[in-house]
Amino acid sequence: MMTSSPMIVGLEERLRLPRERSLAGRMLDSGLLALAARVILGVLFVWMGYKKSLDPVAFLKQVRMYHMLPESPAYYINSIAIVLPYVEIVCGAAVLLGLFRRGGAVVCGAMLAMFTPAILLRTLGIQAETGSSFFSIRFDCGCGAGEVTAWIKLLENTGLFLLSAFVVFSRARLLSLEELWRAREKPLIE
Amino acid sequence: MMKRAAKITMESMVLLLMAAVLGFGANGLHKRGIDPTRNYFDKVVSTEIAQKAAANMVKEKHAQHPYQEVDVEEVIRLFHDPESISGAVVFVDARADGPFSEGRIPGALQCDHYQLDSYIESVLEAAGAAEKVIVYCNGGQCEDSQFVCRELIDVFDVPYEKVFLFAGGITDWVAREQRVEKDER
Repeated sequence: MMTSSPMIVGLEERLRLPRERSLAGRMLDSGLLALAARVILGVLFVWMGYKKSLDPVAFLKQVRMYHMLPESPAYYINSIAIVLPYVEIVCGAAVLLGLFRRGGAVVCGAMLAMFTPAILLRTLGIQAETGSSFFSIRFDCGCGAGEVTAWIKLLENTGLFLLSAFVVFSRARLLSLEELWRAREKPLIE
Repeated sequence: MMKRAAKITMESMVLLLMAAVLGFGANGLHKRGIDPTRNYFDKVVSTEIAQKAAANMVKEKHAQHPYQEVDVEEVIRLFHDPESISGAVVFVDARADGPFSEGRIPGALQCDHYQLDSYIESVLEAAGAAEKVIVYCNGGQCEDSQFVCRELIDVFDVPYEKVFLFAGGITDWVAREQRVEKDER
């Protein structure tokens, strides 16, 4: 069994995990799961935001393809295209570094809550237009990953949304700048 | 609970503000930055274009745009016509640097609609001497060639009769196994 492995026992002792809970429960208490969620969410958002920021005009054209924003006045859709990649980078970094992590996770979750139904609607539109099978539809959704298979993207986004929610509601601050800040502010009590 | 919600809201606002400052700052420095006030997708044409389109029965042929259109067969014929070599026919590619350098109709001038200032002078110079200006982009759903047509006619006063839209774009050109010009890497 995994719990009897010397490596696991060593890890449990270093993290001071109570032995009476399950491994998953102990990983939850230790903050390891929250840390994993932060790393996955943070790295993905920073990377996707960075890819979008490389060509603002291309991203503007992608935003327009969804026909969710009015094109007049122009500064509305243009501002969204200018700022959105940097919202992903800043909030992804906040989640990854653990500084304002909950605020960052809320914004990431909100973006996923908006983008995912939009991708679904566009997929259904393509399906209606072309008569293709839902599971065969591929297009560049504007996420920064190029052309993607729509149903896989929808699943990925749903998973990321759940990770965002987990980070928001988790109290764990393992390996976070917030924890570092608190440790510096509060002296150790002997 | 309320205190935590207020803290999370404050964190979100601070991050959004940072992103806005960073975004507009980076956009100002970017080579392909967006002009926040420019309407890049304006398809509303002047009365003059609308009248000429009506006179040319353009809507009867295609409802998607008000410009004179040429199909791929006509484009191939014009390309091989000796007059095109002399400059009487000018091809204008409405795509960005990347797609343009990866493959274009040989001799085509670039006119990226989103960075118009960088390209329009050379296009207008060639258009002035030409009898026909054929504008194209990727084809299919791409509308960049329509935007360039509108700007050439409405903004830069190139005569309507000179400007033709090649709606099939580089996709149709390549599908006909025509030669493309590429930039060497």
